[in-house]
Amino acid sequence: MDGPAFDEGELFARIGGSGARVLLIGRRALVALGLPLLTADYDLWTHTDDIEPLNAARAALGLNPDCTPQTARLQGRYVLENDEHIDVLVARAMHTVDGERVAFDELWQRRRWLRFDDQTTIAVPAIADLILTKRCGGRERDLADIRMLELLQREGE
Amino acid sequence: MRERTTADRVTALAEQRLPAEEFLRRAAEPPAADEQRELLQLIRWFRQRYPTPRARLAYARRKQREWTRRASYGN
Repeated sequence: MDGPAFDEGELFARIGGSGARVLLIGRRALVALGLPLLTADYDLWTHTDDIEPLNAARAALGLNPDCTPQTARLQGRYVLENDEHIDVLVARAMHTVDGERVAFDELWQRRRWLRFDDQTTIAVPAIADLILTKRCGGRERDLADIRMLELLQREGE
Repeated sequence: MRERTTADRVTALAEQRLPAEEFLRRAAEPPAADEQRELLQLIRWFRQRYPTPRARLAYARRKQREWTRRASYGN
């Protein structure tokens, strides 16, 4: 992965300027909130109606979608990539391992904004909602992330 | 074909999907007091050392690259 050439600020600025409803989820959201974790990729969750504006925003960064918006809607996800890899979830909802529904619209309503720089903000789910997204994953690493998120929540974040 | 690196193996382990019952049981278990204290110290250090999302994300990118490179060489 060719990290140094990639301008993370520009990615967030272009997403912010696109008008698309996009949440940063996954480990990058956890890092932005202040959890010391390693991660290679980005995970975004966008409203299923907003794939086109998100794709328009990514063009200047040379990120290419791996399928059409129609296919992405059928699959519930797609990938934007060049040297970077961005997983984009476009499903209206997902479910935790014990069957609780986690809907984009509800997470979007409860989102919080993190200031990346003077011009750019990043939308992330509330901590309780990030825990829910981790309960959808059901992996070993999700357990570790839940543990840290719960501590962060207890810290009053 | 590329040989599996240490980084690949660690990633595969972390990505492993657990049976639902095991996941729920372990998610409900509170961390041991020692582990909790260490994690809190680490979180507080990180948030103080890197007070902005921008600085935190830049740190994570840098460390990820270093770790991947080291793990590949160490194989």
